[in-house]
Amino acid sequence: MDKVKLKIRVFGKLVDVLGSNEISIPFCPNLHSLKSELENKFPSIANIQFAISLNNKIYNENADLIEGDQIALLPPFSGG
Amino acid sequence: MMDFEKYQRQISHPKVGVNGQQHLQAAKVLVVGAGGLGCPILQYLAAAGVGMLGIVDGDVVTKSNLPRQILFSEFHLGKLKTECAAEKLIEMNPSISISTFPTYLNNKNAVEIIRNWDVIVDATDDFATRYLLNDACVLLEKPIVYGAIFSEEGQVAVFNLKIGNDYSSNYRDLFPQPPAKGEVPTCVELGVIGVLPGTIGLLQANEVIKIITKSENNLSNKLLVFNLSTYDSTIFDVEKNDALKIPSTQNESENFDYNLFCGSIEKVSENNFS
Repeated sequence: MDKVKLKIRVFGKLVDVLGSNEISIPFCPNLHSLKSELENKFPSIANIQFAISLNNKIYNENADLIEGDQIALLPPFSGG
Repeated sequence: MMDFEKYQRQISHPKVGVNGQQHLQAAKVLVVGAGGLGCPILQYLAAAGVGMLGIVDGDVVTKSNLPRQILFSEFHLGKLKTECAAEKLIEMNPSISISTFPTYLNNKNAVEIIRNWDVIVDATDDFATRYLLNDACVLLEKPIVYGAIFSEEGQVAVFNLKIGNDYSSNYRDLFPQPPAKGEVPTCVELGVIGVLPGTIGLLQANEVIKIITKSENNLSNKLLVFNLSTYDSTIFDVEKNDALKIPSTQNESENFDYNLFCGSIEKVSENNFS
């Protein structure tokens, strides 16, 4: 599985932090390990609040990932 | 009495009809925040014939508001936003009524202000007020039409809408924890082009009309994210999490410190030598 990459769509302020509105990272078996992998690669996101979606559904708990899953990282917005 | 001539185009539309127009005329909609989002929301809801509009905002009009807060003009500088907006809206549609609350929403006044309205619109611009408004609406069983912007993106959702015997997901299901103070740059820091709150505000007005006219196709249990630069739009599913703790009595709500929760006031620190 190690050649499989996960594609992640990035929104809001995280675009600046991660450098792009879409990034690829090596496959992770679940959302918790994905978050750890992101924190390893981009340490500053450990201190940023954001929601994670898997296949366009928001997850506040862990979930297993399979090849081809679509992930998005959605920080809150305050502006109005 | 319904003004058939005025609302003829809406009444002709299958999604509204005479029945829907009557619902709009009988509806009471409270818009919290008369800024970039609030102005277009109020303008379109007034024009559509929503019978009673409430406006909550403690601020006065400043010059830098004018490029996006389209109810206001140079003539209004220094005056209360609520009163200027009410005057303009009544001029547009004298057959509706408007209540103004020239104050900021806080944990002591929220329940009293929100209590008598059917649909609440979150057009605020800070996290403490968003969590406060969310929790007060959950407590009072009111639907919220949420909108928020960042740079070139906007979020829209319908929270806490009664569907059968249940209520749809709310802001805390999406973001259980607020960001730290200063974590998310504001429009003051990032700048904003008026058409973004204009667009997102109109999507919120659309959701309000859908709720009032009982359209099943609305953004409850969903979050719409729209990018005004690329026109990408995505709808995410947001599930209700009943395990989340939300103040469940008026007393609890009045004693929950939202400014502390959202870090907008500094916690007392022994190492603060400044």
